Amino acid sequence: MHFMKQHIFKAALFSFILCVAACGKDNYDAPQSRLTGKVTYNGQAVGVKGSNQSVYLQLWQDGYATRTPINVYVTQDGSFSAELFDGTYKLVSTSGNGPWVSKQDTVIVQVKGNTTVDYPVTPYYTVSNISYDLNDKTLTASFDVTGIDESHAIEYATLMVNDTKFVEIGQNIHSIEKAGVSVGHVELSMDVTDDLAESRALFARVAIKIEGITEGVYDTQVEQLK
Amino acid sequence: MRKIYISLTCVLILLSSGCSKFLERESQSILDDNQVYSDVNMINSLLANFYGRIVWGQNLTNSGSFTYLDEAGYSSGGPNTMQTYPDDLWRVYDYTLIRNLNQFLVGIRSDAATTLDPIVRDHMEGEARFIRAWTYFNMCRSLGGMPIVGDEVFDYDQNTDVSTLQIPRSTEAELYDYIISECTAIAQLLPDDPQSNTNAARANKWAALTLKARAALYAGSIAKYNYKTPDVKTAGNEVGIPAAKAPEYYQIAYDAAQEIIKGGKYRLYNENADKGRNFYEAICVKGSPEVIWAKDYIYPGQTHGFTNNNIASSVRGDIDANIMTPVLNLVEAFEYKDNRDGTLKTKDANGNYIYYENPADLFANKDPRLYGTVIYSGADFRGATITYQAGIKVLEGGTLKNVTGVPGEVDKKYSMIVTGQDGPTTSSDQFVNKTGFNVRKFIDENRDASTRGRGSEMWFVQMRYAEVLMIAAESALELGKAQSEVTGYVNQIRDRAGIQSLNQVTLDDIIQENRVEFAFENHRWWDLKRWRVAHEIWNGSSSNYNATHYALFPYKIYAPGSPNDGKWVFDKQKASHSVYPRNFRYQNYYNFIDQGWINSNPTLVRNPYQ
Repeated sequence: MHFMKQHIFKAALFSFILCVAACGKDNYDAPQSRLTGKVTYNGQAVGVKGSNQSVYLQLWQDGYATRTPINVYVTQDGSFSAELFDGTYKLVSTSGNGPWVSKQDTVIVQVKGNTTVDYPVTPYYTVSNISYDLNDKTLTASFDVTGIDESHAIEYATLMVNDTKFVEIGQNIHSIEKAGVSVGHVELSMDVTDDLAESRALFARVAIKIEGITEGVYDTQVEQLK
Repeated sequence: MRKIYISLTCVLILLSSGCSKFLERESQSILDDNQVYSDVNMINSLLANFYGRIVWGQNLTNSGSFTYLDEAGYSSGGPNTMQTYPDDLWRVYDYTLIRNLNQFLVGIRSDAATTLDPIVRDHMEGEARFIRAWTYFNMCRSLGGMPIVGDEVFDYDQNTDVSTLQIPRSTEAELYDYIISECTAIAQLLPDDPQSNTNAARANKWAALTLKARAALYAGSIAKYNYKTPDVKTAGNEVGIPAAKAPEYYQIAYDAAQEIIKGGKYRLYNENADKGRNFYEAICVKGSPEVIWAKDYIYPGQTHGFTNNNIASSVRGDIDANIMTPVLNLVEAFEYKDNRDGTLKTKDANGNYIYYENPADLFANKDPRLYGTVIYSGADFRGATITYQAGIKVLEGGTLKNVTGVPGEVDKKYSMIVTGQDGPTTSSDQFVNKTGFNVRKFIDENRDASTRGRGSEMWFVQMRYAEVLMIAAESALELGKAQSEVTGYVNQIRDRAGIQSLNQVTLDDIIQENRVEFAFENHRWWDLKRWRVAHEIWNGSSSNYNATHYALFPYKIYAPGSPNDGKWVFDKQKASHSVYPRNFRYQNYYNFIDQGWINSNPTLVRNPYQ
């Protein structure tokens, strides 16, 4: 019996050493480097929907037999970020995804430690000089629409309010849509009495929906009304 | 110790010498091709396996699949927070099945099968090719043109040049052409007698022709309407069909539909004077002379939980109920017998409630197909009347105040049931109705079918004669035939339904007719895609009625002494458990090609927006 015991002990010791040794080889550290940036036009950030992984860029890395892109989601103010391993990546947009002219331009990114990169795009339209005015119960938003590439027409301009910071087409408690909007100054107003009364917080945002494109161009900020 | 070793060695030697033929025996558990393809029963069981692998899209084994569109919403448990359609929704990419079918074709054409009756052999080959064509059709409508591998069975060993296996995508038109030509050939092989199989579970000549007509109609409408989505195409036409091809496809669809109509083997079911009941029986009673091809289920062994999942609370046989329930949008899509606007009249022109004596009065004169499709308040099910009661409206100081309670429990203050057992409520309780309706179509009236243990053997209708008539109507319309002919087909369906005839039919009328006739039959998603209207109807805007799920909440008036006491009023409201509007993005017209497939086959071109 003594003989057996010794063997069991040796076997146990051996497998324990094997386990400990094996662990060291299998695991990587988690990625440490943070890539951040903005989707820009002429240096200005482009506002997008920002939730539900709707607008994204993709990071690809060459040199492996099989490839899987890393999707990088763009938030309301046009910014994005990703935790990555150091290395060379290609940053691309997928055609028809964002509210900008589809192009397969690749931005090569060298990630070494925390890195910042901007991704330039050509949006179909931009909105600027946005102001919100809450006068008693009427909310008025005014802004300027500039056409950059008018190959797709404006479907409508919209002013939306929601009780969370996510104010979007499809995610709002009250909105108005104005069709037939052309480039230039736009004013939209609606009665928000009920919304102010019923919600504990209220945020507003404007957007331009473009024909043939799922995503709209949004204000990069949301305006808190309450 | 040593003795043990010696005896062990002896035993080992004995064993290995004693079984000299051990490795050369015929297997008792593996059947070779010769054995399989010379026996009708074995071949049938192979075919049964294939038939079991080809139900995709909305179907009875997945109640949630009916909540994606504008037919029903999730009703049990917490709110559903789907915002957009997944990029792989109902995607079909099954080359394993296609390879298995091609192996089957090799077997059935081999010498082993020469002992079979040649007619039976043709039937078997025809069925396998039908299943293959159906698989390609499902791939094509979800992904566009995909690799066509013909009859070849691909094998791989270490000497194989991988690039010979990497077949590029066909164009969308080529794949539809392949399906159409296969169906033409298959129709020659298959029996033309609908009685040749039980419960329409196996494909016959008419199923092949229906698939041919449907494929041609899909191709024709994509060719005609893809101008509406100019960005939904690829440079190599893997997605997108040139407009010039539309008339050719519509003609094929028209001719195939005519062949089925003239064949005279099927007809619209019209046996019951109660039109609502008649519509239910046409689709849900096995043996209906209208059903061309169905996925059949049988107890014991092959059953599903659709009845168990979706039955109304008061008639359930188990704990489960109300997993998905129809939305008001679908109910209002059903016309009135003599009025094409199906909007339910809950308020008068001044915005005041209309008071109804009985809940069912609200639905008086609706298209009887509503009864056959949906259980509404006041309708019967299995002899019981189903009444939906969200609560009571109490008259206090001239205004009505909503009072709700626990479903089915007597409220102490009012000493009556305030919220009915069948709901609806806006709570997140499990198995409690949230929309004010239940499904009737495909719900089994056998009480035991609603239990978890047994399940239901209700079939799922894949093709029926009404669709052939609608294909005839749509293709005739698109080919510019006389309105008298187009309306003729549509009015056959409307007469059977029990609603007024039409003098004039447009594409919008066909969209409308398909919606109500084929609700819950896995048509609408594919229809709206091929007409390129899905992104307009489900535009993701919460102010758009068509994109947002609505519920109907019936309330009983509690106003003792008032003439309206005990009467019913109805509130239309956004469905509490479908939080976001339906948002069909341009990228949903075709599913994404999986990156894993591209890694295996780099010749695959990506789909638009990908």
